[in-house]
Amino acid sequence: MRAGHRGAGRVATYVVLVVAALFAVFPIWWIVSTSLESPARAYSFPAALIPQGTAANYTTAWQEGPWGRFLLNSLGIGFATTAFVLATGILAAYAIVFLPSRWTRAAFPLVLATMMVPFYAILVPDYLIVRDLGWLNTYISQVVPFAASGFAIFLLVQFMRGFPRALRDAARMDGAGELRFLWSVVVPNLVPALVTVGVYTFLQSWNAFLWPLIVTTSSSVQPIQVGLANFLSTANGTNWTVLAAAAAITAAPMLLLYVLAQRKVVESVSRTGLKG
Amino acid sequence: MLTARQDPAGDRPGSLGLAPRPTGRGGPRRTSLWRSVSGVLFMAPALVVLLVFWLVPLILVVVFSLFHWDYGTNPQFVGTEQYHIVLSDPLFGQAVLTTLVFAAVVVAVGTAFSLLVAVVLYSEVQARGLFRSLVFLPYVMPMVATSTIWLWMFQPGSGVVDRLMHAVGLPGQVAWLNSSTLALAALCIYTIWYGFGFTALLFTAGLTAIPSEVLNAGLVDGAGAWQRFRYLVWPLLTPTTLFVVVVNTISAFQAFTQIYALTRGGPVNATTTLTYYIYETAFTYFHFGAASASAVVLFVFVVVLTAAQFLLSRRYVFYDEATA
Repeated sequence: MRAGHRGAGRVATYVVLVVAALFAVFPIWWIVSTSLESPARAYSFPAALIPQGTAANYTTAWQEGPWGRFLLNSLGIGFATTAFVLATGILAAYAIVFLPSRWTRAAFPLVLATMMVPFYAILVPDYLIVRDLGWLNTYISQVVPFAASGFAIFLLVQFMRGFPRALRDAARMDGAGELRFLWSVVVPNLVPALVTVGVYTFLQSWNAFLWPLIVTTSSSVQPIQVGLANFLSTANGTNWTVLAAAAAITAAPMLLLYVLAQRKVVESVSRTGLKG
Repeated sequence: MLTARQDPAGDRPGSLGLAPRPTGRGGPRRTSLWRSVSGVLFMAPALVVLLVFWLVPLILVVVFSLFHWDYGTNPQFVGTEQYHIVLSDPLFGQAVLTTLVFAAVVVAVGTAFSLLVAVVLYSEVQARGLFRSLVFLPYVMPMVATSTIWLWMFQPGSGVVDRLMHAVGLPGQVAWLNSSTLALAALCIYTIWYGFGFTALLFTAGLTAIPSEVLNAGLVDGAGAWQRFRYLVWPLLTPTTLFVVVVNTISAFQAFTQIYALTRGGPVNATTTLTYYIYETAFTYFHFGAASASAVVLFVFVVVLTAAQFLLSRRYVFYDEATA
């Protein structure tokens, strides 16, 4: 693509790029612009592309649903899940890399196996386990089943294996215990990997839908995705400007995260693998 | 998945502190015992979660599938009869067909489109980073939020899709989500929209791994852009393509959120895929046994399909140290 037919080739290249970018971005732009329109103007197509700038839909949407609560629930569940995944992941990866025994060697394949388990396959047993634990309609049921992740452990093991052996030996010579070495040497050196895993875990938790749909029934513990789905299916079914405002509220934190740390988000998602 | 594979047992010679080494305290034996115990303790929190919520349920779902069990009733062992019931349910057959059509369209069109985008992104273009961020954006947005907006875009008459079709002279007033064929098409469009930036990124990773000498050699030999793609890039990219096809197939089989938000499996079950069928069987009708049997069937389906893709493409996939 460096020589010959440059002109035509380059035009075609940019046409494909622009079409792909428009296709990707337009619906997201459409959430924003519809949410800032009066209902009447939202229906006049080319005009509605540049929104009028009314905040009325946001006020209406905010009054019609407990969005503040939903946002707090999702944030809380997201941060708690991320913290647990990192904590359990660091400990497990440390055991696999630095404290190997036949037990850890036997357990690691089990950890890896969980990456292959499709969630829909274990939906019914998981629901029944959570029900029998008395966890239906709680925060716990949305955090604990995801408090450890095979992917996270796998990735942290990869990073820890890159640690210079001399570092561990030096710490042992100095008489540092396992926890001390883990906390003051391994963790500080692991920050980029932890951010990668953390961003991905938070994203996945924020976007989770099927599981909270099944295990929660009241808005006091529901995450914002389920809140939006319920808002969509109740009376507001055709009030598109208000719905768009609600959708924008739901997407805003992710949009913000993406604008602020776009490189890290792309890296996290592509390294950690598959969503859903 | 893109990271280098490591020996799971981790006992390669020369890797980090893997052999129990004698230290000053208490001699080799005690150290090694102490290390085993703390290793197990360190792994325990993760193991408990993964066992209780991921591995044991995988066994349980097979057990449940052998029981006739509705919510509030006592489970009754019926053996494989549950599978006969599920497999002879016409709705199950329809769901299998719907899933296959949905997966085939999403995988074929989605893979081709994202390959095109990746090739274009890989060539020397201005603002590559910006374009990459833009096409990736749908993949990080919450699906319920973006499904809501596509629902609005697919409205007959007032929706953007209809207006765009009208603007280019196509028939207007198309009730996308009320027609069985078009509803499935709408789901395919949404799903391709949602995922193509991600798969394009996987392809760009594969393209970056192609040695530039190969392409330069093609240039020297006077090959055009298409010829270089067809005879150099495409064969060298086959491992990535296979990976993308497998990833797309698996995620198409698992699609749920967009179906729930856009069509609820309708109209008249036209977009009820296997995952949605399992959800409805289990959590609308509370037939836990039947839902478990369908889940097992779907799981076997996905495993077989994935294996088949690997076997079938063995002939066409070019594996090489530099690219694989």
